[in-house]
Amino acid sequence: MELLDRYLLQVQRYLPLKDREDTIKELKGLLLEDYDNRIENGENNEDALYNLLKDFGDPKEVALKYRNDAPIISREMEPFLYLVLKIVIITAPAGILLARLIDFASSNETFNLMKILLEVFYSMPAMVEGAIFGAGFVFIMFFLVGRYITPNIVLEVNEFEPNHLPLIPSKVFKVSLFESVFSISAGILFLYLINYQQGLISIYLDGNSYRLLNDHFNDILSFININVMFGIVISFIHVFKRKKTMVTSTLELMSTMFGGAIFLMLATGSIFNEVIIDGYDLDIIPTLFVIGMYVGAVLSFIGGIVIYVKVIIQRSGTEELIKDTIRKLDEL
Amino acid sequence: MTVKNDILKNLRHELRKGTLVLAVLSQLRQKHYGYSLVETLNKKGLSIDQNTLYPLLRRLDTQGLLKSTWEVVEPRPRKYYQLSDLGHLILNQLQEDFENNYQVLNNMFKEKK
Repeated sequence: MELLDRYLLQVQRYLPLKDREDTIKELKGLLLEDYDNRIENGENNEDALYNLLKDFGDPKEVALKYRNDAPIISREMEPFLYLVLKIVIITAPAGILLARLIDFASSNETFNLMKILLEVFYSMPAMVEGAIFGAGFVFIMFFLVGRYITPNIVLEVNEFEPNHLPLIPSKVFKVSLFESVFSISAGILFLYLINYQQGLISIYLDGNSYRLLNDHFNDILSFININVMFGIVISFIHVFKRKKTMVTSTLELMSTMFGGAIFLMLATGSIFNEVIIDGYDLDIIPTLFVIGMYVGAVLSFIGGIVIYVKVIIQRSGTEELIKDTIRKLDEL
Repeated sequence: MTVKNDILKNLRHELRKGTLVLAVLSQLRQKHYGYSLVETLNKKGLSIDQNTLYPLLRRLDTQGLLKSTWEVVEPRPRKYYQLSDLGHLILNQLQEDFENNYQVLNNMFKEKK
């Protein structure tokens, strides 16, 4: 009955929150009655379930029939709205960032990678603002067009295929309570050590301790703090949800990208106390550190994207579609 | 031909939509759950999609025309529906209206002949 559970999960997504549980419970019972009837009439288990769901129809269409509210944006215009929103949410922040980088580059400041990265970080609030206002503007325009112009749009609807229903989020997406609590505790401890016990990051020579990091590190420290606190917030969400959702996966991607950028800043930031390094001939430490930070940055960027793409593929059911396509190609 | 079929299809849908609620309410003088109601209506000549009937039952329930109860019947619980007091009143009124409209229309069709 995995296929039935996948179907009901999709119906549930589009139901109003207050009616979800009761509606799904009732719908499941009714579909199982029909299924039993089909089995009694001689269909085999697999065909009975497949045909039942195919006849019942697209889960989104089924769920919308349970809704009494009229959609704000008509169903015909919805695909265009989402397409334009995707474009605006990417291009508006990208445009703002590009403008600020051009402005920065044309200034007389001498710049290095760290200053560029700082400029990118300082641009983030404006980028978020641009994305929100852009999305809001698009939504309002579509609402007004739909309301006052009512364009005649004929949608080509793909036939509903039960086997292409998204999979139920697997164990991969479950997050244990221990894991979340550990992450929160480790994050808080890290913040305490890095902010209040920087003296621990020292070289101990001839019975004395010498601080390894200089004041440049403090420029980067605020970004490290933000990223760690961001990670703690995500872990708190996991404590309540006990699973990874698309939202938390996206937040984790942002945190990983941010982390990658922090690695780059640490690599290029000249954060070591040069007096100590030169005085005690410890060049190997910064060298190893820089290499480690560049490796960390690459792993963060690539690893973060790969993990996120895997999550999207598993959640959207595209995995089944890809396997299906490969199977058909093999048969040919 | 396609235009004519489309128009006919839409108008038939409108005609049917008006009578569907009446048909459903009329059967709910007795207790039914969703699947049994589909079978009853089909047997009596009114074919209806399950994914049309079930949301309709929910809507009528929300409006107070039906009363619903969960009953544990092996192998799974079922939600039964029956007319509420308000539902009986509304059904009687709608039935009267329908019969009047039917009479009026019938007379109009006879006039044409």
